[in-house]
Amino acid sequence: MEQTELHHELLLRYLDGNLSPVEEAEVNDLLGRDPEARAFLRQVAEQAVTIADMQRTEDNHNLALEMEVLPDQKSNPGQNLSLRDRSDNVWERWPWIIATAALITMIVNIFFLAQQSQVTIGQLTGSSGWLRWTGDDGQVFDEIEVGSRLGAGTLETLTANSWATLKFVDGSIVTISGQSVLTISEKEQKGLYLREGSLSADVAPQPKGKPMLIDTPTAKIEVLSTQLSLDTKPSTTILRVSEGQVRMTRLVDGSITEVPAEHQVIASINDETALVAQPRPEPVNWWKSNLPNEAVWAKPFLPYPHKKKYLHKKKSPHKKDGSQKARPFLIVTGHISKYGSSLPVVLTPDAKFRLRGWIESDTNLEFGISLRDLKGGFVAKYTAEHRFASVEKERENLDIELTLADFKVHAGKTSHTLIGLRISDWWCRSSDQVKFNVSSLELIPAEK
Amino acid sequence: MSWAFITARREGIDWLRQHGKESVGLDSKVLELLEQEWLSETPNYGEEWLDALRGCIENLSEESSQLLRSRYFGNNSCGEVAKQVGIRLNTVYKCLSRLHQDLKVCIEIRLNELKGG
Repeated sequence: MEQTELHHELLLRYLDGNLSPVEEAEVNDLLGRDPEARAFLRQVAEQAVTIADMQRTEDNHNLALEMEVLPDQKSNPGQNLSLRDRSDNVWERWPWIIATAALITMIVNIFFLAQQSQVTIGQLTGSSGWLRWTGDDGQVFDEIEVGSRLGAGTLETLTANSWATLKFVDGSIVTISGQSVLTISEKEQKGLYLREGSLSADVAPQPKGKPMLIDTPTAKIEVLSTQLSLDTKPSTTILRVSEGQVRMTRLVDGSITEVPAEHQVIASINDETALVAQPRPEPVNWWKSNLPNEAVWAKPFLPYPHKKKYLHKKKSPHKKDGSQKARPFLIVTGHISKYGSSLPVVLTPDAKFRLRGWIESDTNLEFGISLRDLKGGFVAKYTAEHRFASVEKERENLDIELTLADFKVHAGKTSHTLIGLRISDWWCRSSDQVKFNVSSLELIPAEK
Repeated sequence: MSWAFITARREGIDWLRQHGKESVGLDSKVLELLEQEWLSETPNYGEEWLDALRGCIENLSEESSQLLRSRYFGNNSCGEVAKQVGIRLNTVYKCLSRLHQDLKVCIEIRLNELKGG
């Protein structure tokens, strides 16, 4: 074999990170004395960038064809530049960089070390409430807009009334809702990590041997093509499968079970019984809270202004008159299900909520619910407002009943009737900085 | 120097400052050499060169194209590429070496044709 070929292979192994310390010294020596070797390294970097750029352009073109472009992007293509857009522009002008920057290390390393962050994995197709996006480069954005293309990173829905839907390039759709934290990545196969919260997914057929992997603190889930939903807390994961078949591994002991359609399974760190999928239970129409045990004192509904960054066009966190939006003082939230978070609770005609507790002074109180269909897919969030005037301060002064007619859609699909939908969680917040507590919450069907 | 030149160069230097030479694995003298040579080659690059490279890549065989895409777009290591394609690791290095050389020759031919035409 010619010496030149040996040198080229050595340099390719260097770019592959596959050298011993002795060989690394050899590469430095070679590049220091051999102009041809340096030229080859530059060629590889330039060609590699171009190949990736061409493929990326093709993929993004396909993605754009597949997804509807937002009207304002059609009319003002230059005005809504996201971080991803800016990244793409960097790649589009890469010949400038190559031609002028003259830094092979930049090109090689941006490409070889940071390439993954440039790849569009999916697009934010719907959202409401406060979101946070942390890219895999560590940049934090406290507001992202529908239409933003996302690479690898972590998406958080920060408050009880938040939700976000991602559409992946292959058509898979994933929605997270409430206070949820989801990390997405894609290398050889899709990888999701649901650290906490709720997720529903409609997964397109995945390549053979490369299922979508969903990790939670307590379970590993392999998905080929299916509809499923997940609820995750630090100690428990509940998996509900509507269609297809899913494999779940309980991390605490490595138990594995196949979960077929219309079945569910709970993976808990405290469970020593066999991991067995059970048929999904029939829904119930009456539910009463177990407060304060199941309540979660939630985060404020506004992120901290000094940390605010935007992934898409900028929005002012201030009202038009310059004043800052009022920050609710207290929020309480909880999940709605019966008997160990396993029985789904559905809304029936003429059902009503009864909410009791104490409130400090006059204010508007917002009561919200998250709704899913019986397959587990996210549908919408609805809210009802109640005005308190001249409240008595000495005793339990909060006792209200809310019928389904009192609720208005807060975010999500508006065409659904509430009847027959499953309630997954609830929240309550004051519109002013007024303290309150909720001592009891009950869903009462008409006949009860 | 153009604005693009200054900006791009600053980006590169900033990147180097952030990551340090350890992660690059190359001596500072080697880095300086690479930088100087790339600067001196600046006039050789342009849209024609880019178009030529794109044209050459498009004309590759499906197998070659797949190998390059897997390595550089899929960001797979050569070991992973070897598993995917079903060949030995050393063969991957040899194939990549040959492909990069072929692309270089192809670009030169296309650019010469352009000048001649």
